[in-house]
Amino acid sequence: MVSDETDVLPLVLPRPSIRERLRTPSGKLFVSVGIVFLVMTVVLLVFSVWWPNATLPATASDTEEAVRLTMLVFAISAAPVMAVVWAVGYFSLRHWGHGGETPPEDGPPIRGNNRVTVAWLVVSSVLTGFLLVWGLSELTSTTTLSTSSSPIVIKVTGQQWLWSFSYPQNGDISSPDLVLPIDKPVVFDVTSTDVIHSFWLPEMGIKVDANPSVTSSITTTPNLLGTFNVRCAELCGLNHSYMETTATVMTAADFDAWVRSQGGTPTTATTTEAGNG
Amino acid sequence: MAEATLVRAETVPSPGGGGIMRRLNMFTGIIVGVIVAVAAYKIGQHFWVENDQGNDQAVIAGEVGWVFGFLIGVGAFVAPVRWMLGRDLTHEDEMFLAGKDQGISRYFRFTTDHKVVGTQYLVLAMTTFGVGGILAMTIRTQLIVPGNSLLGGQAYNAIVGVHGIIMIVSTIIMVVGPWGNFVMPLMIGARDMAFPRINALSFWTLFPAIPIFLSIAAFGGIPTGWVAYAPLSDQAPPGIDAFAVAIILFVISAALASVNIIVTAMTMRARGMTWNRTPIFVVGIVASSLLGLIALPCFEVAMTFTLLDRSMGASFFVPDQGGSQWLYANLFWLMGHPEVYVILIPGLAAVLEMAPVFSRKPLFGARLAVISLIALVVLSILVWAHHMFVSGWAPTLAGPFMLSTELISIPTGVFFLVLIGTIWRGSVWTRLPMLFVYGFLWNFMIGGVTGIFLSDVPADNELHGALFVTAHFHYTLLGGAMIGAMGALVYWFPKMTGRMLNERVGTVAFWTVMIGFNIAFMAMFADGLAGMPRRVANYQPEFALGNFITTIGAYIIGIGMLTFLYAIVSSWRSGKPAGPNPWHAKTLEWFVPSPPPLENFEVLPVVTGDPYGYGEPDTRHTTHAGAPPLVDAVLVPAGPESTSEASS
Amino acid sequence: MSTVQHNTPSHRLAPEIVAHQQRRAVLFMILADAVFFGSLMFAYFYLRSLNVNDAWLPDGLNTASAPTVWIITAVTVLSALAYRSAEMGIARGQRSSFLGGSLLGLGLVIVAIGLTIHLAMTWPILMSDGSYASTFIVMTFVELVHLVILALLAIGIWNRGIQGKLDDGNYNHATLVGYFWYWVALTAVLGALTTFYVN
Ligand code: HEA
Ligand code: HEA
Ligand code: CUA
Ligand SMILES: [Cu+2]
Repeated sequence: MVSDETDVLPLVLPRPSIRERLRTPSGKLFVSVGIVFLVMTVVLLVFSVWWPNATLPATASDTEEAVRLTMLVFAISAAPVMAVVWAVGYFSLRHWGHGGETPPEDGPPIRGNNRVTVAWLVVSSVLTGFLLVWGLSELTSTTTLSTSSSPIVIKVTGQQWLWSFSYPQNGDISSPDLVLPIDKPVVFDVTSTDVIHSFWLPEMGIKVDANPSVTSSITTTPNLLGTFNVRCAELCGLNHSYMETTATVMTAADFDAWVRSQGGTPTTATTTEAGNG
Repeated sequence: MAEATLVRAETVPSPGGGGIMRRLNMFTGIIVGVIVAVAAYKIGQHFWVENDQGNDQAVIAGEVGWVFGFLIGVGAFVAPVRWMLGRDLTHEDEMFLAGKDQGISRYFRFTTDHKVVGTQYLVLAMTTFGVGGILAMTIRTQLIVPGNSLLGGQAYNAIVGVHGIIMIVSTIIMVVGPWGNFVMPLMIGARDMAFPRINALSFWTLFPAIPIFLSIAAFGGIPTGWVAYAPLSDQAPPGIDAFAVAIILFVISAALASVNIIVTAMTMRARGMTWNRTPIFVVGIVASSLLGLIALPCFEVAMTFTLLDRSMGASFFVPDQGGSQWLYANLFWLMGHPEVYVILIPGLAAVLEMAPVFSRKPLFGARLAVISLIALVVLSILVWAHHMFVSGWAPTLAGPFMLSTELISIPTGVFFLVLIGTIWRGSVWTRLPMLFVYGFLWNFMIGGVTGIFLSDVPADNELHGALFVTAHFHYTLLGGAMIGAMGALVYWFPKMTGRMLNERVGTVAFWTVMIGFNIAFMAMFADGLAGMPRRVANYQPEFALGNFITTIGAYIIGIGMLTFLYAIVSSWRSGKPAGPNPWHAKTLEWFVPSPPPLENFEVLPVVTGDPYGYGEPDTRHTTHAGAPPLVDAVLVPAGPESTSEASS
Repeated sequence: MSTVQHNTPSHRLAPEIVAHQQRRAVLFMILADAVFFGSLMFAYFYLRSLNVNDAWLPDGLNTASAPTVWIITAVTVLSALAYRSAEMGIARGQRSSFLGGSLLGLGLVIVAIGLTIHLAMTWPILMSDGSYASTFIVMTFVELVHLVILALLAIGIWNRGIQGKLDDGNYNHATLVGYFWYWVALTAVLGALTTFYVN
């Protein structure tokens, strides 16, 4: 093939400038597809920033903030890839489409293109690598305790179809709904008495299964005052839909008052002050 | 004329045996099955006492009795028994089994012709899709407003679970049925499957599983969803016994079919069809069957354990007796993840097969596509624990499984490159099958990217068990695999039936399904992100809008699917005759009449190149009669792989 | 001859190809069975390693007799060796050595079935006695099913040998039965290894 070409083209032509190349038919093609691609990328980016903000409830913990950030980063990294594919698809349908009973003339017999293939593989590997590294570092940061102060430990028990919470550090008081002090790391030790449930704090971005005969732990630090949801995220039979309760995040002082009202020994306010001071 | 009489004369039962076999059919199967089932159930009731939910042992005995009775009655054991006795089937027996000159009744017997089996599978799958679809509509109707009391918790859970498993099973039926059984042998230039009798056996072991699936409703339903997690399954009503028996049967049937498909594709490709020249769809079907063959037995073990836990007091999943729910979860997902790729790959491969035909261009990077298929098969065995990120099992393995899961996006991404590379600068022929290729590009991209969200452990900690997951897998299963499969159905419909699918109606159906689907499941993503759990019959008012939109979208899908069904049924009966090669494609199946005759190829084809030589006047796939001549048509008589009793 | 004859594919493929296909198919089915059996082994070792609530092998519970297990295994392996010799016989065209060897193999398989049933009748465990008992019983039962299928196949192949359907040019079915036979022997050995890892 090489020798053929040299026969036809004995001269090595100077490489045309970008500007000139863009004016060739295939250059124009790249420009039009490129425009569609840019538009789609922008639409996708706007969508991925706007959608979570518009539809999602508030974030109530550092974990959930990390999760939201991750989803944003993932959406932004995926947007150009999605846009490439869809731009080519849209463009081909619009500009190269033919209907009819008989097929159009065959297209150019392109069986592959090493440069494009390598570029694709490199980009998707780099992207995957980036997402992986991001995910791993986020995993370490969300599973280790975020401040140096000693965490509150709360025992969570699932049973068909209620949650119960007990506070071993506060004199083992127990409660059917969850009460948490703000800005204080919590460790949940989750277990079940019958089937598998899954302890879920949607606004705090944490979830772990409640398994019979096993205790699993998960940690977070609530950082927003208010009342949030506690749900069961694993199908557990008849009333799975109704196995929910509330999580109230209050100030340390309120929390102590609550503990006292339940007949427990408050410990939070002092340690929090120590931590802050 | 003389020949016809000769042939018909041969189907008269020969006096020397085989007489019983000729009288067996689906109806004798059902009769014997019911009799044995009732007897076994009674015996079970005699020996075991009822618990408060029902009598598990009796139910299991009854279901198993039904299976064996049916198989005996339909004639599945004739050939093995005669093998043992050394009285092999005669030539007339085999012709009878192949369904020669039996008209419509061959569809109701133990018929071995691969096209009959493929069609049986197709009709069965469409029926079960219909059931799954009606259940889906019921789910959506319950969820249309919060606090709806159409269904109770028990019924809702059962319907969700049965919807899930019926849909999954139906898609696998599509793989081994119409694709593996009807299309694949034609594409490789074979006259039948390698083992026609195993072929029939795989269908007729699947068939009795369907009534068992449906009997789940009669025995109290399943409270567990399609995953049938233990220990919830241990306290369930006997519906779960029916579920387990049906799954075990299904797995056996799928294994038989897979072995047959793999061996056929490995050994019966036409002369000259090296793997490089094999259509990508065939490669995909083999990859998918192999993956299913390896993965599904784990499910069988999980279900066997469930049955023993429930009926014999075993303790596999009972923590108090030393069992573990994680054993179940591992076994299930060791099957479960590979199996979603079993479902995806045929749809994907069909899309890859159609793209060159309708872009009139060669497949871009065909070799890379095959390598990626292999990578997909290998990787998908190594990722199962991404379904267990929050289960508390082995938190230290979260990182490695995140790695393996995200690696899958590289080979999967390659298919998108292959597709857009094929379409790039093509002369896109915008017929109906091509629309499904575009639909696949759109949906599966969303499904795949949301999968990457889920593979991130902290994000999964938020999203697991939420509707986000449900939306993700409907985008992959329905939007990817099913849209691909529906396109494939449109594409091969002329070959199967000899008639074109009504394109006007089909196009309306396509757009209805696509639009309804994207409305429904986009809204479901929103609900999932906002924190709505899966598998709930009721939800808080904050999710009302999203659910309402989803339900409306689902109804639109339903209308679209009904339109599609109408297009299929009406075109099957009275569509425009298709002729052998309506799409001007180059693979072998298009060089035989539509529908193909009993033995497919009068003269075995010889393959001389890959089937994607569009725009390349010097290459062609085959020298078969009917193929456009390159120099001049060469008819090659039966080659060395077909030595001939006939010609001797 | 008639067109019908001409059109029958199974009659037109060369016997070597059919034989090749059948061997492939049996190997693939064994692959599926291997995953099945592997999952059982996985369950055994996984539950043993977890020992949930110390109920893998509750205190005071006896285990199945390991010597009996090994005797069954030995008998199964011997049967496979006997069949192996039968197979080599038929390959040399010695029908009588095939018949003798496969009959011996069949006899040993039946002995193994008897011993397995004996084991099950006498072992001191019930399904509900913890997870050791459950997994061990199921593995034994699966082995029993293997042996029963093997016995049926052995009867069939022996019968076909008697009828003269096998000779040195055409003994593929004997090879196929052999594949399954060796696989069953292998599973017997693997299963018996669990007797070393009871506690
Ligand atoms: C056909 C079915 C199918 C397919 C193909 C997939 C594909 C993928 N799935 Fe999905 N999945 C299901 C069906 C499927 N899934 C089902 C049924 C469930 C739920 C079961 C249940 O619980 O009931 C589930 C659940 C599920 C979970 C568990 C969620 C949970 O319950 O907590 C996870 C987590 O990792 C996951 C991940 C993925 C990933 C990473 C892919 C990847 O393979 C996707 C790869 C594709 C792409 C990424 C797009 C194309 C790639 C490029 C263009 C390259 C560049 C892109 C990037 C680098 C981002 N899936
Ligand atoms: C291939 C797999 C597949 C397919 C195609 C579908 C298709 C659909 N699914 Fe399904 N779904 C699953 C697999 C699938 N699903 C799985 C695995 C689960 C999880 C179960 C679990 O959690 O345990 C699930 C769960 C699931 C849920 C979640 C329930 C919950 O968690 O509470 C919902 C809710 O909307 C839903 C809806 C739908 C809808 C509206 C369709 C529609 O697209 C259906 C449209 C199809 C038809 C309508 C059929 C074709 C039509 C005909 C042949 C004509 C007859 C039809 C009519 C009369 C309308 N599905
Ligand atoms: Cu508890 Cu769902
Ligand atoms: Cu998965």
